[in-house]
Amino acid sequence: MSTTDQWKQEGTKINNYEKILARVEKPARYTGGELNAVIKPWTNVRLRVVLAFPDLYEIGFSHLGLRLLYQRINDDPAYLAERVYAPAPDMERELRAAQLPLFSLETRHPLDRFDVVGFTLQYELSYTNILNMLNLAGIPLKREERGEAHPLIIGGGPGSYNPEPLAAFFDLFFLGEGEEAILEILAIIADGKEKGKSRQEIKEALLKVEGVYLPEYYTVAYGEEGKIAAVHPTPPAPPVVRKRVLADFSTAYLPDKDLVPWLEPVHDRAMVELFRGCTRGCRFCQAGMIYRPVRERSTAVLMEYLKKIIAQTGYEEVSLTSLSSADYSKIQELLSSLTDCFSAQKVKFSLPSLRIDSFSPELAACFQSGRKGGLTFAPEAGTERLRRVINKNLTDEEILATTREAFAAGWQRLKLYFMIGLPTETERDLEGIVTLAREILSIGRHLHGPKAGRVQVTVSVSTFVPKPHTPFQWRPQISLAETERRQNFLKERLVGRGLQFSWHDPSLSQLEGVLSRGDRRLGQTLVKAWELGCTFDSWPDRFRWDLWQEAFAATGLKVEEYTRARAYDEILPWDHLSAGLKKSYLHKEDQWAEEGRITPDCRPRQNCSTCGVCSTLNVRPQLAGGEKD
Amino acid sequence: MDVIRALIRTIRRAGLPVAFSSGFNPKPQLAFGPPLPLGVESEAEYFDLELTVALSAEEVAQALKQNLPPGLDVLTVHQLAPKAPSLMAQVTSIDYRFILSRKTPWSDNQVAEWFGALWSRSELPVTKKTPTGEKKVDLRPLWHDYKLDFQNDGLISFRVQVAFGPGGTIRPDDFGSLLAAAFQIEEIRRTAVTFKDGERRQKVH
Repeated sequence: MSTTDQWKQEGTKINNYEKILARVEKPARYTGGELNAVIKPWTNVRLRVVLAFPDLYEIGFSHLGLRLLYQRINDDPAYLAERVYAPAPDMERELRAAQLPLFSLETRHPLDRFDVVGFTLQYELSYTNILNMLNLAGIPLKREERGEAHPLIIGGGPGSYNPEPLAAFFDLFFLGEGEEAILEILAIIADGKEKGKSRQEIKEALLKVEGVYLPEYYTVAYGEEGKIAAVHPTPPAPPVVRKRVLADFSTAYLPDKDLVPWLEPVHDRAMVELFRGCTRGCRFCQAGMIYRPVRERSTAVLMEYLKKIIAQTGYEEVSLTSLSSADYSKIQELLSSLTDCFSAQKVKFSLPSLRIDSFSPELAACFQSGRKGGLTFAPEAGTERLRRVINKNLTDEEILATTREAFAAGWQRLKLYFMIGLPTETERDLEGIVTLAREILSIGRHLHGPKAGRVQVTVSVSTFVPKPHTPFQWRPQISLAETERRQNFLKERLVGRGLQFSWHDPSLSQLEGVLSRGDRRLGQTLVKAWELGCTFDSWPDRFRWDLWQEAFAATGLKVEEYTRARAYDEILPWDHLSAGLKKSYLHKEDQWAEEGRITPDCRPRQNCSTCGVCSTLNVRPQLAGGEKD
Repeated sequence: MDVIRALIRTIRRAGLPVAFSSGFNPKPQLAFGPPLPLGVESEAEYFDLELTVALSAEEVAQALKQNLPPGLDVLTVHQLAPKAPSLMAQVTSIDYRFILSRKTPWSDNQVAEWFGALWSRSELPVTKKTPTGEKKVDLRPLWHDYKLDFQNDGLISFRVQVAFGPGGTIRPDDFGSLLAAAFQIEEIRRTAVTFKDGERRQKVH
């Protein structure tokens, strides 16, 4: 009996599902049917993939990477890709009560009928949702409990640069840029299945794809205090898995079409990457390290794509994404082409963030539709000294000058983003945040004269979390109590008319810190926390620190084991995974941080910081304007 | 809202020369008819669209049809005179069709009697939530007509026509509370809208 026949016999289940959909909040989270959604006949393909985003539809839909891979796989007639997002708690209750599995959006097949389930690992606090989704699909959580008939569970995205806490649950992680590699991976799986190869044989065949990491081929031995004694690779797995980069990003895949949702997602717009990588070298920034080197698309490629995609989707807004979009070497040319081409259609363009040192009122005005609302800047740290430590080389005067320009150009509300708990931070640096905010407020008041009362400065503070593959990967994370102390310090001082202070739940940052530099022992803690009811940990109203603490206690692990400082010679849980960066470079950067020494932007080639990415991965930086020497 | 956004994007994809409002945030000039409650299907939705270039109704219909997302269809397009009164102000009544299943072992005749009794009541008071509190409303004068059909599968098709305008309307939810004791609602669909000029518009089957 074919799968389809089996499925038809489950008509009552479908009927129940329809009734559930009529009851739950925002049924469009689960019904698909968006413009450009791809529905292929189930039986006419070699392999079926479901791309899973472990958060709500509104969040997951806004993610560019998943939309890109979705079109990429579906462009190939040999494969079918569908989507699934984490069901909201009300939907989860309904599914469990009706004993229904988690279904894909497109053809409503249960997840376990697919050959591959691909999770995107965007943030650590989505990990319990992954367990929950597997469980709702009736798929055993642990790899070793899954059999020949189960789908292969694969993961990609920034989380795969240290996926160790998830190592027990996944068959495969992919490190790096997936738009080419995904087709190689699928071809090997399809071949293997057609030739009747076993799951294990297929997995072994996948080892030859650059960027593929199969955690089961690496044994981790622990020594004292939970430190790693050794990591043993099993041949033919390589001792170190290196990330995959595209041979040529300037000609990289861009889809012919893009999904247009029914339900409003958090980012309701088309997106295009101006470039990958970043040359700034901020020492706390994982993205700035793992997505190297910088590679820009040409304005011609971008314009052609945008014309096509806007005509094709009807989106009224396009986000020009990258890690630092104003750094795009042809930004002015691009903006004038965009204005010429799209102003009649009233298409708006937005940049995800503007750097203080690349801000100009003219640039900002291009992205400001109509009324001047708020502007966000990220000084990150309160004093010049600490900004040199993190290699975000901005003087106080540069920050003040930029805010002066912004107020003078008409903006009334500024948001300033800082981190607390950065390496070497003292009370002086916290005071620096307060001083800076007050000075900016008084500049704004002065410039807005009679409307001074409308000027508002918001200080938003998050807690620094040391991330793998950054120069700060060895640094300690401040404790919960210390975070609260520093937040209170600011809370007491950032009061008064025109000032606002917002902060992150400190316990959330603790968990993020544990998981981001975590090891395999945390797998059981994840399971325990999920069993206790933890899901949607990134949602402050759903986050249950008490349950997490219970999970740590039950599995014999301590938060401090993970937030502690690491020695340079210690084996780190992610040492067998490489983003192409030399460890000696990260080490040097960390020492320079201690000395407050700046590493210049590596965009002009003579400033190459010899991080090792270009030589290790055999790639070169690509700039749309050619090399600037 | 979701449908409105989808329509605006359809118009953009179709490349229709739509007029934009002036001001800080230019919006396409679209005006919609009575809002459709969540969970209600419809085959009778209307909107007015202002263009900057005169196009024939056929051209507009064609352009929209080719660009609609799955699940939406354009049935007819009419050209309006400049300064035509607003769509919303023209609507006088709306038709809905409820598909019901029985919570009771009643026969078709008993069901018909039950609806007959409901229709014959001189008052149908319901309590409605308002922003300031609760309010008693008599639905009876707003209920214009009904028709029952018994389907072969045992389900009941209950068609109603209700008033729409400054005097109020009956929302499908209001019927829901009247029917809840004896029937389970399987589907609700808006089937037609009647306008002031006496023109009755519904899907041609």
